[in-house]
Amino acid sequence: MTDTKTVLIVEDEPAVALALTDALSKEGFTIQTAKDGAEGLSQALAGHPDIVITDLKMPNMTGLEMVEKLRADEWGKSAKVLILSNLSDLDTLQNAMEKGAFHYMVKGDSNMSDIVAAVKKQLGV
Amino acid sequence: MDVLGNPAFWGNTIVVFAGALLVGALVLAIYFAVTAKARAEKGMELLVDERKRAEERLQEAEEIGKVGSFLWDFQDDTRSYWSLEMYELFGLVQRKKIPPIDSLEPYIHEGDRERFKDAWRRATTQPGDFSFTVRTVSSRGQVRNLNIEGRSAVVDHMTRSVRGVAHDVTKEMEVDRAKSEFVSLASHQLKTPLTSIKWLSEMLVAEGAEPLTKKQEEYIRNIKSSARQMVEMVNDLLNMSRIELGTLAMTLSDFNIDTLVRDVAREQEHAAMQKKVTVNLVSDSKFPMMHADEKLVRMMLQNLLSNAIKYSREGGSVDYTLSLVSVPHDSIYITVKDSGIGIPEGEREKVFQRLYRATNAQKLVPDGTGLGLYVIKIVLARAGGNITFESEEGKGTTFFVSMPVVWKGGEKAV
Repeated sequence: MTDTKTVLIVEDEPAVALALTDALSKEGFTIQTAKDGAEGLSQALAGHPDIVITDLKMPNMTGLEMVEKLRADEWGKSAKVLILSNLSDLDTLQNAMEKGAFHYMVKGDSNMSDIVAAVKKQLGV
Repeated sequence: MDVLGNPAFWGNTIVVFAGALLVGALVLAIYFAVTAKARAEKGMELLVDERKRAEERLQEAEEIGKVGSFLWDFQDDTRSYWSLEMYELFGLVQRKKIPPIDSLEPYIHEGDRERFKDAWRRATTQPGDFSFTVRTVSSRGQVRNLNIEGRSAVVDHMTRSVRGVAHDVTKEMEVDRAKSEFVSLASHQLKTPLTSIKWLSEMLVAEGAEPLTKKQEEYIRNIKSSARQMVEMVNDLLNMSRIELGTLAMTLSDFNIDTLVRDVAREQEHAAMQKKVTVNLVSDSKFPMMHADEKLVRMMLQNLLSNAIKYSREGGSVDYTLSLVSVPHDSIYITVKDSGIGIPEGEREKVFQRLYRATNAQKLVPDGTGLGLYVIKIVLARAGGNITFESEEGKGTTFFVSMPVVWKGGEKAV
């Protein structure tokens, strides 16, 4: 891969972040991590990753607040975002779409291979 | 002449004496009549008092318990009544004539009006006991949840009367809601650590991972299987709380039912292997992409198949069949037949009740939520489908699921 794609993982649960980091780096992606929405937003705006994978429930700034702020930015408005959460009720889902999330996956219902496949599809690799 | 010998004297004396006797008797009669009347009046007063006190006690009890009682007598309207608390519960002023049922409609919550009309129609056309819950809105905007329970007297297809009680269950429903919200929150919290267990154990045995010893592989397989069981349990709890909170929603997507059925069978391979149970999968049709809630269909299949394996005897077999019936409409039929412990005859009615687990099931598999079949029944009913079963204790159970289907883009099944 000549041009490695960068994935920003925004996740407050260390074990989940570890699983995502290892699985995606094995696929050749460059991984950046952030522990909450605020950290994720500043890293995304500074580093312009190819895709942002974010949890929803996080301290300081939730994933939805982060996506909302990201969409207000010139680069951020078309940035690829994959929401990865265990909240699966319709309200949360609709809210996420309204705030500008393009893709949503429920953690507990997905295998790691599904997540890797979804990221690869998003990035066209 | 001797006076005593004079008959006139005796005649007069007798007349006087008889007169005196008569007057005495009259006086006595008047006395008794007056005292009897007084006693009767006193008795009546006491009865009236007693009745008044009983009414007051009943009224107080109704007020404390927030229970109103009613009787609609359709043959003799003068017998119809509403207790004071009934007016209170509907936020109405007491009237001489009880309000006709139609006039209550504006006081029923807009979202419950159709259900109320339906429930009332059933109550007045079918003899026997009825029970339903509706929200009422008083003219001051106070919303209450009323549970209305009663009994209809129907003779020769004619409803003679409907009597019963209305109970304000707002508080109870709030407590129930809080419980369901707690279950929902707790389930969400459980899902996060479960996700990491699931993913990390998946990664340990994924292609390209460092080789493991046979023992390590066995451990990981067990971790994965336990994590999956726990995810299923948590999902059951979440679905139950969604049903109770009224937030269970269908998220429709296109998927292949045949692939899903096979996926679920593959997921259960480990559990089946551990019990040496053979799963015979038969899928006899080529299906177009189905348009339904994949997660709920998956949940249903997982529950049925894992139950069949769990309650089978070691070395038994499970027939897991997917078929299609196109008459009158396209429907899929899923049959899961096990050779397990069966459901005891006296417990069959309760199988779809929330949290119910048959006694022999509890003995064989102590852990379980008793929610799987309850959730399946409700989800299927919402999708216009149904689930039934046949069972023989000690021989096995067969569950039959039917579900009407819509194919992607309105295609027809091949």
